[in-house]
Amino acid sequence: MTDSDLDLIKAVQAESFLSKTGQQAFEVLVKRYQQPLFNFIYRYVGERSAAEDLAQEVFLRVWQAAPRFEARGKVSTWIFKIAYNLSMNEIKRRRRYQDFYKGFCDNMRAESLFPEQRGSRELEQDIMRALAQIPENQRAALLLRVNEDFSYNEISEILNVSPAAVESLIFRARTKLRELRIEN
Amino acid sequence: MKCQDVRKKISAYMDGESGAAMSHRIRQHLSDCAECRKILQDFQETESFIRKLPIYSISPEFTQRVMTELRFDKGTKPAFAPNLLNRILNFFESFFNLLESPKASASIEEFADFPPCSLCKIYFKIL
Repeated sequence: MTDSDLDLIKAVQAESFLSKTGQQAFEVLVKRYQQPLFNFIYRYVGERSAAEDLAQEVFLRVWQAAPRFEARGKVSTWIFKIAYNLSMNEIKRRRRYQDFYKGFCDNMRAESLFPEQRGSRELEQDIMRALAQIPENQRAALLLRVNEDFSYNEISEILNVSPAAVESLIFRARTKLRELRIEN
Repeated sequence: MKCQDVRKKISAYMDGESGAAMSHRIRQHLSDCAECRKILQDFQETESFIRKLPIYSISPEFTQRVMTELRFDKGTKPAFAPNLLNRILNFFESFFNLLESPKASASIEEFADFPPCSLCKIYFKIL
């Protein structure tokens, strides 16, 4: 199926929930975005089970908000904006109740045993530990740029900041990562 | 162009977000400045490490789980109960967000605040 994201959302908007067409269109959208969304949330939040739950919640919100979606922006930025906001809330919630950064690193260490991982475990842990040391908004901006290839304008929509602020966030993230590499 | 100006823009340049004129000036500077070239190279190497992060596979049953959840949500779940629960949760979420300060933990300066009701805020934040 080669429908654009917008076609799929329009199909969801046009059909009632109980219609097969609306459900099929949404299922295509879920299949298209579940993998990149899951990877973004996992790298951002740092825990696999939480990432799956959050990704599921994202799609639930997308479904609920689909009738109100206006085609002014891209569907992908809209979906990632929901994912970012939910992930941010999760990070805040965790920080409130536990030592999040310790959990982040421990989880990454434990979850490196998953068989689908292709890279070196040590390198992966180093990268995730380094990412965990940069502020959340900088981490989100960098991941959206590097892993998802969003433009600065798109990232500014997702994070709800100006494009100049995105430039600054990514610059500071890279500078911090560079410093961490030099230190090690 | 001065090194400090180039370094501020080098990240955007790397992403192709610095504009044609600025990119041209940065390129010219880089051809003459080994230090700025080194920073660009470091940024690029760091980026290549992040790109090496493995692709994590989501559970094979994820799509089905989402679709089942949606059917349940729209088809059979009564709307009132979850809405009430969400409202209660949102209330507490907003309450804690209000209490939350940008700092990660309580600093000694906060204890100097008056009136002493600010202690409640510090207490909740530590919790």
